[in-house]
Amino acid sequence: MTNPVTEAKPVKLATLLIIIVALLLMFAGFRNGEHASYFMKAIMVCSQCIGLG
Amino acid sequence: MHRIGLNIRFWVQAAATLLTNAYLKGFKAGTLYTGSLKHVCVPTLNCYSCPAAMYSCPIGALQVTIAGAGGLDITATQGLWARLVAISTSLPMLTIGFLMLVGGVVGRAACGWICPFGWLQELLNKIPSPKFNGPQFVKYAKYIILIVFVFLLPAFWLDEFDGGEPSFCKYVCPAGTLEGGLPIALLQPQIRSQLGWLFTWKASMLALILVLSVFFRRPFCRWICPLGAFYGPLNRVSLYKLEINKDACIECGACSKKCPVSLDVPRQLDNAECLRCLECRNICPVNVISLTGPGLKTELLTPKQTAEINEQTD
Repeated sequence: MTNPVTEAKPVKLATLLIIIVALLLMFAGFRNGEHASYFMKAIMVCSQCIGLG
Repeated sequence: MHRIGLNIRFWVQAAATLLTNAYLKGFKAGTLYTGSLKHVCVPTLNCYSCPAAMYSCPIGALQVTIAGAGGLDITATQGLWARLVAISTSLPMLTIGFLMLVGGVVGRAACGWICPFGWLQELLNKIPSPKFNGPQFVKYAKYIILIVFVFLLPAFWLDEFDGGEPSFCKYVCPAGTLEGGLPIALLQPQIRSQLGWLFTWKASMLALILVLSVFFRRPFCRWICPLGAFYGPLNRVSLYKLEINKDACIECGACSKKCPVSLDVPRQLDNAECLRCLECRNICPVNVISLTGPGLKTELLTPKQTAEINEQTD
C-alpha cells in the first residue's frame, strides 16, 4: 500500500481565543501574587489534605 | 514518526511521577519541600502535602485562592455580598489560566501521560480480574464535584474566622490521602495521634478507589476527578486533537478494547473523556487514527487506499 496523503489543518478561532485568554489570566494572576498565596499553603502540611481537618 | 512505542507512555508516567515527587528525603525526615518550585503548579493532581512533592497541586491552589479571598481582614468577608466582592477581586486567575492553557493545547493529555494517580489506577487495572465499564451517567459526577467542592464550598462555606477551606482536599481527594495523609501519619507520631473520623473517611475512600481500579478502568479519573472535569470540555477545541478516517475504519474494535477509559473510540474519539493517551492510534491495524495539530500532518488515506483496506477485510 502506498503512503497516505497528508494535509495541515487550520487552527480554530475558539482554540486561539482560549489560549490567548489563558495567557492573559496567567499574567493577571501572576501580577496579583496568586502564586505566593498557594506557595504559603504548599510549604506547610495541609491539615485538610491529610485528613486531620 | 507515525507510531509511538507502546511502552513509552508507561515510562513517561513513571518519570513524571518521580519528577513531580523528587524530594525523596522528605520521606525520611517527614517534612515537606519548601523551595521556590512550589510557586508552580503541575498540570495534574499531586498533593503538595506529599513529603516528596516538588510542586503545587492546581486543584489545591484553586481552592486555597478562593477560600482565602479577603485575606486576613475578617470584615472584608462578612455577609454574602462582601464575600462575593472579596472573591471577585481575588479569583484564581493564574491557576485557571494555566489549566486553560494546558487543556487548550493538549486537552486531557496530562491525565493520560503524566498523572501519578491515573498511572496507579492503570497499574492496578492490570491485575487479572473481571473488567466492567460502569454506568455512563456517573461520569457527570466529576463536573458536580468541580463546581461544588472546588468552587462553591471553599467560597461560601466559611469557618468561625470567616475563611473558607479546601473542601475537595478535605472530604474527597484520595490522592491527597495516599501521597500526603498516609506518609505524614506514618512519619509524624504527633499528627498520627490526632487523626480521627475524617482520616478514616478519607482512607476508606482511597481504599474503595484502589479496589475499584482493579475492576474498572481509571474510575477516579472518569467519575470523580475535578481536574478531568476542567480539561475534558477543552478536548473538543484543543490545538492537538485525534482524528479518525471513518471511511477506512474496519470496526475491528481493537482501539476500544485498548482504551484506558473504555471509550467506543470510532464514535467517541476526542470527547471529554478521552485522555489523549494515543493507545488507540498505536493499536489500530489500519492506521486510520491520527494526531493532528501544528507541526503535525493529518494522515489521510486516499479513496483508493480506503478501497484496498475494505477489500482486504471483506
